[in-house]
Amino acid sequence: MKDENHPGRERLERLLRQWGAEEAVRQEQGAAQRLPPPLPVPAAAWRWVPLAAGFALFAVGVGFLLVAKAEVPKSGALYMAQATQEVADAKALLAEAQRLLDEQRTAAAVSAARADELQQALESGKTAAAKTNERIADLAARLAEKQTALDEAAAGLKDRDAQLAQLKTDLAAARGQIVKLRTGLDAGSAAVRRAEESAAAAQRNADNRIKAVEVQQAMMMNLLARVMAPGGTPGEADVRAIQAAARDSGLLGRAATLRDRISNDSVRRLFDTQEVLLMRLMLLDAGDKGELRALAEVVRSMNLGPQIAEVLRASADNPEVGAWLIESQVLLMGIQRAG
Amino acid sequence: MEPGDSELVERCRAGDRAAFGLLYAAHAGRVRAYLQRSGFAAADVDDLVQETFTRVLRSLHTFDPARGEFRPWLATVAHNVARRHWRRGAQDDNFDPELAGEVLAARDNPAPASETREEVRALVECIEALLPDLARLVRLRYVEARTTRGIAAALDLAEATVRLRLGKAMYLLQRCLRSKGVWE
Repeated sequence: MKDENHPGRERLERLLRQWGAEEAVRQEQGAAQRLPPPLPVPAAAWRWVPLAAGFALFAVGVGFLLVAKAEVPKSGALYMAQATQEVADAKALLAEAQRLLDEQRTAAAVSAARADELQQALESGKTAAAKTNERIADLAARLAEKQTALDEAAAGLKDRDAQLAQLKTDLAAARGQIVKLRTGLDAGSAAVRRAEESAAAAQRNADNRIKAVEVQQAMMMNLLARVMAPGGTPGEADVRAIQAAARDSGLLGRAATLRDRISNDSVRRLFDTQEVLLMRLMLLDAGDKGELRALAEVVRSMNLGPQIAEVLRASADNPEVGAWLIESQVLLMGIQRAG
Repeated sequence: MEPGDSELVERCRAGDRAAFGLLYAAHAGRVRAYLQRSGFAAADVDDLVQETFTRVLRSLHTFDPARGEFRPWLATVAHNVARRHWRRGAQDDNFDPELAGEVLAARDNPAPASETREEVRALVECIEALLPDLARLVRLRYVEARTTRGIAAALDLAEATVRLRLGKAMYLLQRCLRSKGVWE
């Protein structure tokens, strides 16, 4: 602990002494108002006043009586001396009685002042008590208000608790729904993934089939070319054989059914073209070489082979249409050599 | 405006009982505080106040306003009453007579400078901020005017401990007053 400077210490000492004196007086005045001490017997003091006065008057009366009426066989001078002494004694008694009277009057005045102080303290106490009662009433009223507010707050709190409980329930339900939705979403995603995988697999299968058909077509074309090329221009018997093959395979009958399944416009156009050429082949007079050459010329000019390969890739989903196109193409190729 | 002491004394001399009542009301509290701070038991203090004012009333004719104020004259009467009873009661040295007499030495309504009032207010706040034990020591010393020996007896402590703690309280009060900006 650091020592403070000396002037500061003296200044604080003076301040403390001033405060201590004022505080002591304040406490004593407060204590006098709170707890008045007992009265210092004013009634006893006043009781002595008439007694002292009566005693003094009695002493004076006795003195004069002795002077006036006593028959003492003494000389005049002695008598006078005795009477004077009696009067002096009486005066002394009177003075003592007067002193006693003054003393009691003083005590009575002090007591009266004290009584006034106590009366003021009593009135002050009554005033303070009245103020305290008012304050208590005020506090009671405020307490009642606070209680009401507290009750309302408690009720509000209860409502909030109920709302909170409801919100918690709703939140739990929403969380359950989120879990379900997430599960459904996962399932949907899996389904989509599976569908995509299936579509990819189907695409792969279709590509494979197209490649297989293309390979098959190329093989058939080559085989047909090899078979038919050495024979030169087909004769009447060859034409009839081709017509018979077309009838036997029922190409025209199948065409009516297959057309309804075609959704691709370019496929339908090729299909219609080959159907028309097939009809001309079926109606062809096998012995008429001019008509045969004209048909062969039309088939050649149309160059249907590459178109059929293109159409086969586009209509991989409809293999029956592809087969019909190939079959009809093979038959028309036999006529084509007649040119 | 309330009448001054000199006017009240003159009216008392003329036999005005109400004036004496006012004089009593104005000074009885200080006399009681003085006697209390002088170490008299509470039961005796009222009797001594009574005796003091009885003497005052009886001796009012000896008071000369030209030679001084009423308060110091009253202090002399109260001090004489106290001294007579000290002799009777073998008054010990647990109370500081000089400190005790300051309640009577101070003037009525001293109207100190505003900064002094401010200082006293700050001092009260600082005392209330002290630890309860230290605040009680300060009160015993400066309100009840006890000596360090008297405080030691009242609190059942060694006198050296009381001095040490009072020193600590003084240090804390100075620091508090400075922190409040009351002192430079």
